[in-house]
Amino acid sequence: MHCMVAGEAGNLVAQMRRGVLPYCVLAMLQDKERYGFELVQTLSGMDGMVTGEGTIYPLLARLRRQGRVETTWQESAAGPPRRYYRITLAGREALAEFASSWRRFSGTVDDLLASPGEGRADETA
Amino acid sequence: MNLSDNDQLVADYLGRLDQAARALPADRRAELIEEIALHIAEARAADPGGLSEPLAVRNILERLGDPQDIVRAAAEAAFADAAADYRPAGPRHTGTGPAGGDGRGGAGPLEICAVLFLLVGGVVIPVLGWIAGVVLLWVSPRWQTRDKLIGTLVWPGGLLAPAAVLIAGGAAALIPASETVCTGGGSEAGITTSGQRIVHHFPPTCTGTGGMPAWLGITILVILMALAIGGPVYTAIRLLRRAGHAPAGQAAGPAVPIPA
Repeated sequence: MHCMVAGEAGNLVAQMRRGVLPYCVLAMLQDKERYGFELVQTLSGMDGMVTGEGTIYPLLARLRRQGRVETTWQESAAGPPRRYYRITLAGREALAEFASSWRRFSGTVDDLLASPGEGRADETA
Repeated sequence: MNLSDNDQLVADYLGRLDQAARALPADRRAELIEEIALHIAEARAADPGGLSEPLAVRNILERLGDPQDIVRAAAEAAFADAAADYRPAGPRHTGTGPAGGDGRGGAGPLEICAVLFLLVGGVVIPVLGWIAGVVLLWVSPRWQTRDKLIGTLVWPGGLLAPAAVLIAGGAAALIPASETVCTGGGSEAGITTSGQRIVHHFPPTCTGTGGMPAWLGITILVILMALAIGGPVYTAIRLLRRAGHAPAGQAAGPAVPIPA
């Protein structure tokens, strides 16, 4: 992923979103299990999180293959059966690791953006 | 009233998705189509106009996004899986380090078996076990030819030689016994000749068996054993470390297709 073409802010945001989104899903599953459609609806209701709802499904499938979530099929009263997602221990560990990295990283970037004179912005071109 | 038209909209969308997903592995493709079809069914059931209003259905499909984008996301996920499998060492190798092939592959089960057989195979199954290790060494794609030559020619037999020396050492433990026999013989000679004269050949015969002082013999034996054990062990560790340093063309692992 180091071969990312920098320059276009839109592209950069898309890259960041892709990197962060799996952890947002894990965060949403911390307290209770949710089904796919519910996850997608919630995420697409958040500002700047999702462009196309369909792109979340491959991400959910990947979390499952990584063993960070496990799924069960449950019948629903109306509509098709639902696949419920539940976070695993490995998922919680990955989320905790991401959360601490994210706080450090975003804190540093926020500081730099607030007072650009005090730090040297290390732009990797 | 427009039920069939709406179903047709959905079918067209899924058809385009299926076409776009041709490049995906069959199971991923089927899984993706299933998930998206379920999403549409769920969304239509949740939306009051989802079953009858074309606008509502179009809206659902629009929010799902371009099938090409969905397939691109699936391809990226597949690529990320392959990348994760490619570096089983863990998340430490995130960039391109200065050593290009560093960490690529590393020592897998084959390499570990090869080194074990090289080291102790010859002891467990005399000679043949070591030969099996050599075969495994040359079969593995993760070593350079130089490493393979070193693994084969330096310390052939692995720990077979020191093991043999240890067995010989067991026999050497009998030397003091033979020495006493010798001195016994000398003293015997002394007894038989006690009446006439003192025999002089008693000391030379006995020291001749030992050859050198006992402490010097033990020291040399210990040094030789340390070399004979340490050498193969060092070579084995070095081989394990060198695994994965094969040139790029030889390196294990399939070429990973990068999605456009």
